[in-house]
Amino acid sequence: MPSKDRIVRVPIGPQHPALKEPEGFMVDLQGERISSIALRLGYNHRGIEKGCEERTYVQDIYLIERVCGICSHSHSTAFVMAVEEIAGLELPRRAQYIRTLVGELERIHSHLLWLGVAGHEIGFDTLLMYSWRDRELVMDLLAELTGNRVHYAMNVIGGVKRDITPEQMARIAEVVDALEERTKYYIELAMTEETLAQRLSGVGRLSKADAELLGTIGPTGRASGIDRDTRRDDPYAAYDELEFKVVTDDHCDVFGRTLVRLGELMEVAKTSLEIKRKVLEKFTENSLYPYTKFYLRAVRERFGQYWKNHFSTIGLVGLNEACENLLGADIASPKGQLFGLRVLEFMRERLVAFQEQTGNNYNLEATPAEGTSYRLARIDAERFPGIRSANIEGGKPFYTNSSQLPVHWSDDPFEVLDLQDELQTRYTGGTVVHLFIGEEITNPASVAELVRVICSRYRLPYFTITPTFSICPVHGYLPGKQDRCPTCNAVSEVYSRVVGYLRPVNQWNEGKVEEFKQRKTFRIAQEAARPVEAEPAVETVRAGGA
Amino acid sequence: MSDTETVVQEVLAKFPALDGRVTVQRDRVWVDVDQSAFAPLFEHLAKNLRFTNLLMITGLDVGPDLEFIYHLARNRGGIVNVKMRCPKGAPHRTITGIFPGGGIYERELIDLLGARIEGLPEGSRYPLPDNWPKDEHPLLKDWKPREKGEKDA
Repeated sequence: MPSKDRIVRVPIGPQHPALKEPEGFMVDLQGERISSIALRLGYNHRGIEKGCEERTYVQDIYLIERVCGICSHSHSTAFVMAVEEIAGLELPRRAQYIRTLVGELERIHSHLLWLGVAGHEIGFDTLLMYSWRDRELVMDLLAELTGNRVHYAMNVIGGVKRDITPEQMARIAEVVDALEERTKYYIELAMTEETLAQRLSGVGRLSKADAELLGTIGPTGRASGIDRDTRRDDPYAAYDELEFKVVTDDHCDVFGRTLVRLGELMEVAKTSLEIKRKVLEKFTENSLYPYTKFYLRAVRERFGQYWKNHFSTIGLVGLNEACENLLGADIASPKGQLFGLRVLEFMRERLVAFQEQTGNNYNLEATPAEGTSYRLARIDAERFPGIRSANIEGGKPFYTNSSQLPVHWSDDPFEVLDLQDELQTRYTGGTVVHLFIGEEITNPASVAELVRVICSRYRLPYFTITPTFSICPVHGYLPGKQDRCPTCNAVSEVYSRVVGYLRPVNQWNEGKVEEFKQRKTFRIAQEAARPVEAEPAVETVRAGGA
Repeated sequence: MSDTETVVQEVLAKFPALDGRVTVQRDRVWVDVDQSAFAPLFEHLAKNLRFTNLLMITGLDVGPDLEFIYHLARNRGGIVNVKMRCPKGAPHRTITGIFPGGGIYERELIDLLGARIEGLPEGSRYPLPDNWPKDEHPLLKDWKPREKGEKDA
């Protein structure tokens, strides 16, 4: 058996079937974990810069158009604009619009090309065939308008080479209509096709912070929440007169609409929290909280406000039921996981924006929502007959906590942890997974082992191991759920965590009591006794989306 | 006050010595800075003034010096071009401490213009091939491609 410390070096490329262009990756593997990666680029460097230096501006257009066969128009547009600026040329508006039009048609073919390649790479070649078939429509249209499918040579210094005739305009409208229909189909597909969700969700994650550090741009950057689009931020050609929406992350219909609505609700929460902050500050100044005023005096000295270093917290409840109602699948499904991650990422980004707007600290919390989970489910059930909540037919309605799995989802703690790990790590405030067990584990060593295994395999910040227990008014502690004391037969109180804290179950609200009935307890003792597998592959043992 | 003017004032507020060297061309701000004053200005732009996007670095051969232009952008608009000259053969500190993604541009400056960038993390050269002569930098103005059939020196 190979030692866990042994490093295996795997060269990928420069020639490799999965690569569309030659690039070299030297990957160092320690078990299944990538310990380092070295990159070699430049195999396609053809010295176009030097070539341009030795040619005239007009000759250069043709050379520069050949930087890339997918985005040829973008390169020549950037170049002719630079030359036009040096020459002080003012372009006819019509030429600007034609440039823009060709640029947008190029964008469509480029996106369809990407979609096909993405399909191919995940072994979904039907998608490749479909999207490349549709791409032919726009390629042919470009050939009709410019005379060529790839190197359109539409840009000249001072304008464009060809005009567009009224007949061609009608043709453009026709093709664009057809493509719009097809695009709707692809959006539908992306929303519902399990293969796509399973292969793509949680794969190749790039956080916004990393994306910024690495200078990520274009759709890749926008999919990491970087709200940047040169067409809007630094408009050229005719973009200053065009209305369009910069899409960041929310590029699917139902997802997008939901996120917009969520954004509006968060605005309401922000306003309330800002008012609350002002009121608290005023009360403290007026000595209504004398102890707090004393404890926070140093904060006041430093920032001019007593509550400056306190967080405003926004959370969520019932993400699982939102998935069931919107997507027809629970949060454990690939679609649900993807949607859950998007929602949490979206909320995080809004909170960062709130921090920038207000100068106050905001965090995202898996709200305990002890009362809210019952109250909102009750109100929703009245307002929207037929809406799904977490109760079993006929029981009191309640929503599942934050982004947790339904309480009866599994009795395998590792299955739950696999599905919760990605979600739990998105919170910036409090969050926790409670592993409910029927009664105490009597062997402390197996609890210790369980904690060690969870901590080494998962990244989620907090978890508890929570046994149910009962208290007899006379004989005290009883393990597990025992409604009556076995010694004196007196009625005992059954204790578990209602949310974070322990309370007798008979004092819970009706929604929470309903939840307690459904709670599945975990098979902990057996799990902890299971031999732990080889250590090196800690990162990859977690079941990913793919 | 327009965005560009705000940026100009923000820069001048912190670096009054740059008065007269901060200009606006269309909607872009240009800052012309000496090599000795480059690092604090660059850091201030990236960290305090939210120019969190390094778009690219332009490298030019301008006779005795190399000129580097660092193009920085803010999210939702605003571009600053920081222009700095460095004598040929003189060292210049890497910006990868602030923008790890900038290493690839700096390697281009090294290969194509013979820049001496110090402090880059280890890695292979880019973009010229491994067997390209170490002292030949094709984007220097006096470098000419060999004619067809001409032998390597």
